[in-house]
Amino acid sequence: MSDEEKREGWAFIAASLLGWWSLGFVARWFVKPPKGISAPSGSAGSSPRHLRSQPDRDADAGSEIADHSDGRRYDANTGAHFPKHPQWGTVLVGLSLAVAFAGGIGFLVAYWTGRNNMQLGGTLALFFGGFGFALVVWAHSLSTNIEETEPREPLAAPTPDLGPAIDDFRRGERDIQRRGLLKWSAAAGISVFAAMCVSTLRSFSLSPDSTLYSTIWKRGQRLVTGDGKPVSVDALQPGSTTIVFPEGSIGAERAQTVLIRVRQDLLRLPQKREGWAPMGNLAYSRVCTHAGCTVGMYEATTHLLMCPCHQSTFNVLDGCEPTGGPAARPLPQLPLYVDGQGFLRAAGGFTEPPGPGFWGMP
Amino acid sequence: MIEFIARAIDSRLHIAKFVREALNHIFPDHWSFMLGEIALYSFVILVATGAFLALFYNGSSAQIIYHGSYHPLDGVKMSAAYRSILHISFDVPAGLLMRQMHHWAADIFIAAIVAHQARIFFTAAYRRPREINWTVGMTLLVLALVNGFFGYSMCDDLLSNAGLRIGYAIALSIPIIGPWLSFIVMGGTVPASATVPRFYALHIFVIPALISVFIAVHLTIVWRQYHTNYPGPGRTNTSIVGSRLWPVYTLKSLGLFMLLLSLIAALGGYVQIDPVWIYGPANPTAILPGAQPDWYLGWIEGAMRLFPGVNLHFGRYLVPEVFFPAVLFPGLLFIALYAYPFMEEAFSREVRAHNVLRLPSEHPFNTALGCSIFAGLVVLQFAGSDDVISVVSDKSVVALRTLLRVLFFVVPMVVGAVAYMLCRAVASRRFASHTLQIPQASGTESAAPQPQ
Repeated sequence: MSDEEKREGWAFIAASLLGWWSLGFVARWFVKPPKGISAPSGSAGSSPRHLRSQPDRDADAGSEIADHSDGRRYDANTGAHFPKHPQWGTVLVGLSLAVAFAGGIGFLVAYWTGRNNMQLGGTLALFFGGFGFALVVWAHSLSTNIEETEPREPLAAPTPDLGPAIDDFRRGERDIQRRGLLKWSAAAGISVFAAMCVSTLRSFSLSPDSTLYSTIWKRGQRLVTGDGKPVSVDALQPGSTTIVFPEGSIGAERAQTVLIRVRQDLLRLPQKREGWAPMGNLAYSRVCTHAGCTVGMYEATTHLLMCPCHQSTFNVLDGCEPTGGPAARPLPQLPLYVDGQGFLRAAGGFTEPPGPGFWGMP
Repeated sequence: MIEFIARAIDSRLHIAKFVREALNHIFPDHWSFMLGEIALYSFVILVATGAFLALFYNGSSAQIIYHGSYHPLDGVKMSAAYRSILHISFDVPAGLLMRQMHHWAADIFIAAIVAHQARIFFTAAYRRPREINWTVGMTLLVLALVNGFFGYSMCDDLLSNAGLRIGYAIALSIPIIGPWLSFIVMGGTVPASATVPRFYALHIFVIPALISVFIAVHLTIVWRQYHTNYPGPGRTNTSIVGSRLWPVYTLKSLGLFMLLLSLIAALGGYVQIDPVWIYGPANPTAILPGAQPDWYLGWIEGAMRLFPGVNLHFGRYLVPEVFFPAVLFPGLLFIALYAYPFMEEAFSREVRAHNVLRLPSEHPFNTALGCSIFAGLVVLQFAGSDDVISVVSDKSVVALRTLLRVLFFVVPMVVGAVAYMLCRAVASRRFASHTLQIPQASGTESAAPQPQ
């Protein structure tokens, strides 16, 4: 979607909202809602709601239609307020329904011709907007608007039925308890059923252990790039990186490894990782130890790997210890050696299982 | 005609009494009572557009090579699910409109629930006898959040793929049950081939069914207890003031539904949302920089970014850093919100039933607490986009994060204090002017004093 189209879209929405709002403003001017006046509760609240009929502005018998000082008509007995200018309401409702009708026709035309998404959405909006506006105006200006007061239960205390209900339950309960064996066997059945349900969850997954604890790489596996080519020890210039996989598992999420070459004199790897980076070739898991995103960025000047999801940074020179951001654990390192043909191979698995942390992670 | 049908039905079911009661059921009128209706109608729109989409969506992670009408992705490897989203967006007549309306309706659905719950909180509508419905509402919020996440993850694009991996890491981080839980839900380490089909079933069947049941319970309770009333003349604990369901309330409510549909249709037509073809298909070895979740998960994302990298080790067991901001913090917040009505009742020893709302200024502590929580969540929301803010403002992410960590503690305190003082000021002013309003309260509006 181009910028111009976006601007057009927002302008349309702003114009529609403004249109609806101003129409509503006009409607409210003609039809004031009955605020702050409620029906005399004495007459209205005495009989149950479902036994009373609604006030009818056409039926004069028994009702006293009077005028407020502001010109609104109301029924003194029921508090019903009749619209002030029903004729204007009729005009507005008619116009809105006409807009809805035009919108509907527009939608049909748009649908059967070009199916432009904006035309479809715009005409649909006109259709429903016209209809909705008509209904709201109808409610406010053409219906008898009554604000009524009725009694209700406060729902504060239990009802008198509660005692007998509990008694009935207890009677049944005693009946069950008398048959102790039956009760216990039912309880046993329910427990077994619960165990059955929980066990069935096992269908949804193998044990996580074999996957989560795996350090993926095996000693001797060649490092290959995304297109399957093995990587020689001097393939990378110092400061550059590439993505590698174990030969035969190209594209595997947990196996993805970033190969970085740095100047050998800069390395500060721990003692026991001596020799893991032949000619400055370092290999680390690309799965962030924080939340599992792909650690996709490398800044050669600071020697930092960064995860774009939560901006954790890892220093590749000292074994990818986290140097900033929310990650707490280093990226697992892959020990490397050079084979007879000069290609890089794994000297073992990752130092830890790759990926985000879990209970029982070594 | 109506009479004939009514006679036919009533002679078989004897429901005329109930129907008459229903037609005359009283609903109070206030703009803030529309928030729940907006949520309800958004759900209706979600079901309708969702049914349309489900008939075209293919919930399969089988990998295929794309040769469709969207040429920029020609020859690209992707899942069948992602291809079906492209198909809906580019080939199915009105498919893009339905998809965008569905996504917009989901965002509005959750926004309306949050606003509705906030209204309930600030006017203390959760008090006895409505504590049960508050917990039902909280449950609906949780279900909506979860289903939103499932929904956009089903597109299987590069952006939602990052969210999916983060969601997996969050589930995995839970002590003891985490590994089994995440494997049972997602079918293995993401991206597992089972994830998309499972999310499909959960998103279109399991969670919507639960939401429908809870909505039914929610509405039944509202029907039984009646709505609350804002304080005013004639509004007491033993009365309900409002207009009848038929015809005024029905017309207004249906009108609101139509206007909401209109808004969502306009958004779906004109405002692009989740353009997955720009992000590209999910790829386990790629990542989209500047990724943000949908708005309703931004606060959890923000908490994950602000929380420092701290692990807990218990012997040979590990509680990973993700657990604290993404499981413990939201969990405690939601437990506190669930329990709030019961805690307030216990602390205030207030056991009366309340059918008239409490204005926010009448209970400064409650209002200040609510404002504080909101302010904290807003700070976290910003923290969830701190990389984008960093690019726009040209400040380093590290500096921004330090600032946001401070703000997370300072802003809620300041906002809470200001809210508290404002409430006190409003309450004392109302108390001062209360004597002047007594004539109005008696219902004779002409007796109100006229300024000379």
